[in-house]
Amino acid sequence: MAVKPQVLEEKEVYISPYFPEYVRPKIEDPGLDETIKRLTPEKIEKAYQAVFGKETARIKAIIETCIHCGLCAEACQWYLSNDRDPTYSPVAKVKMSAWELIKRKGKVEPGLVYHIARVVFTECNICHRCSLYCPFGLDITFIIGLVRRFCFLLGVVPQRMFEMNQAFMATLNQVWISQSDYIDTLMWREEEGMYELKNLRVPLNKEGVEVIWYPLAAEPKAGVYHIDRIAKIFQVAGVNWAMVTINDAWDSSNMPMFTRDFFTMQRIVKGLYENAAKFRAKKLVLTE
Amino acid sequence: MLGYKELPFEIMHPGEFYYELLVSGRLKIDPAKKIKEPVTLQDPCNIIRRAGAAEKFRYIVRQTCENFIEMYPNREHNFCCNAGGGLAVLAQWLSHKARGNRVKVEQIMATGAKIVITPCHNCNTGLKDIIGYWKFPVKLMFLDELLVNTMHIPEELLPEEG
Amino acid sequence: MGFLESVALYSFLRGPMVWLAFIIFIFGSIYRIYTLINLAKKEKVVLPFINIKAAIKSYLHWLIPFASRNWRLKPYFTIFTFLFHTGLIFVPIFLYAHNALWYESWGISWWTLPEIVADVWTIFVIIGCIFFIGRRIFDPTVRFVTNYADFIFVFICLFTFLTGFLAHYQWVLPYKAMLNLHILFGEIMLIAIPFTRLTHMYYFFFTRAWMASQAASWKTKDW
Repeated sequence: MAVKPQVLEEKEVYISPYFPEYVRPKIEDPGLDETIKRLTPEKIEKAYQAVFGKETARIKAIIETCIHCGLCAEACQWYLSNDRDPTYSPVAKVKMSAWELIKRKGKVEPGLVYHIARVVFTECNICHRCSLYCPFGLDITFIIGLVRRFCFLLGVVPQRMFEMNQAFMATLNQVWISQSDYIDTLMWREEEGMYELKNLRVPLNKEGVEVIWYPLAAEPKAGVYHIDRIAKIFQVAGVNWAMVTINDAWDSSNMPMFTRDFFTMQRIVKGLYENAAKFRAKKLVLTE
Repeated sequence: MLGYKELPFEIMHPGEFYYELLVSGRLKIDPAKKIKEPVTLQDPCNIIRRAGAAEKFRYIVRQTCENFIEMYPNREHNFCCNAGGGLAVLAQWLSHKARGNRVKVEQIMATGAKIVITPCHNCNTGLKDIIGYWKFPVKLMFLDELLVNTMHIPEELLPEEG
Repeated sequence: MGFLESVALYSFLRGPMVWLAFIIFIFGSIYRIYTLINLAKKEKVVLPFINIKAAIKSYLHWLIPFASRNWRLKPYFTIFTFLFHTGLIFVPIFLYAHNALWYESWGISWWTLPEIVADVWTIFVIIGCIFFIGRRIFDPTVRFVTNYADFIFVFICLFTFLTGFLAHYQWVLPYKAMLNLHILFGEIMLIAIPFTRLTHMYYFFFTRAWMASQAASWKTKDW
């Protein structure tokens, strides 16, 4: 079926100086364009050592077993969507990022870091499909994730993604919602919902419940209808449920995962688990 | 995360919990409200490929919709929405992203469905982006919307008039 | 040509070189496997998560042709790769002439392949090699990620089987020269296994097991 795009295309073209086959539209992103100006060889090598320096079984097995057969290409939606352009196949992404880093032992120029960041942040979605198609079952996304961490340690992250990460670092939710705003929103939805369903409740911080529902922070911010719907479903089904507002740990979307910011990830998960343990919940239902 | 191998509670996606509610009969579907339009289901990577909830989602959709068409390939072989792994937030790269997911559009068009059920916020964002870029006529729906629209509400819970 | 045909080269290749090749192959392989498992032990998250049952299921699905989705998506590749890899393993072990050598040296022997089967299978291995080389040259996706090392080990396999086949029928070169070349390439192949990406022969089982265990912990399947 022929589908045609109807949005204006970017005019300028970026051709990687390292891999001439890599031709992409030029897209401005301060998170990548500006941050690479601050890099020094020492910084890059330090980040490389932190991520790839210690030889580990998984990295070793994945890098040494890959037979370059290109069978994973069939799995990648980027590859299939771009008329089987070889630079979009998963193995090519690994070649252009991890192999290049390992080959040069981390001694790379900022230009290559830009290239790598572009590949791992904007052309791979860590969907894990390629691992199902690799005859060796290599965890390709694990390598991509490591390279993302390498870029994150250097600060070379697309701007919007980095801002999101900063929001998590500061508030443990993705949209800078304060606790009072959050409580306010939930109570407002409870009030409104009472006109649609009798005795609708949005219980807060109840102990010994069956289910704790952790929303996505965008829901109280922009999609409050989700809270209504969940409350209605739980009310009709007669579920003993609650939402947690304490300790700021209530946003279940662990977005620092995308940049492999393990420290913030851990803070979020720990916060969620500890809140669940505190209220002795039997089940945690995370958002859709 | 791997440190918490044994937890005192279960962690689940709402889809899995709705499945429990439906199977145990706590939530009932009103047959009159079932959705008549053809629907298809987007399998989110993180819940299907990494949590194995494919059959549960299919059960919910079959219960609430009359005309359910599978995408091909489906279940753990489904294509990604191009948003979940961090691409969702990259506004500058929107058209690049949408161009990189033409196969998803073709896949949805091939089913001929009018509604795509997206059990995941990221998939919803991702599909919204590609619908906006490729301009194809489908509606998106969450599982909770689906259930709220079709569930049977007991008399005593209905609000009083006035 | 005189050197290639010489008895001196033959006795060197048949004598100390065989021992060297087998020792390097066996101990190199053990070393590689041992270091990998040792490294995996240091990483706390690998070994506790290995799920043997899922791993075996996964092996079966990927070692049987057309049992996994990717094999079904690429039927030609699957046929060639299975003929090639099975041939690469079974023909050398069960060939009549090789069995005669085992018997000569240590007095052991086992079931052998009929000559016609061995011949056809060898031809398939050679075709498989040519297919792989062609793929690396003409398929843009594969060409983009190919480097010289990838060609080298396909060529090692190709020459080993080609010289063996030609030596058996005594074509092109005199029998003794061809035989010497055949033994030489065979030994190079054995030595190369632990040091090149031919290690995928046994790393397959480790990486597959890890992926299968992960998939099992996610309650899904990886084929």
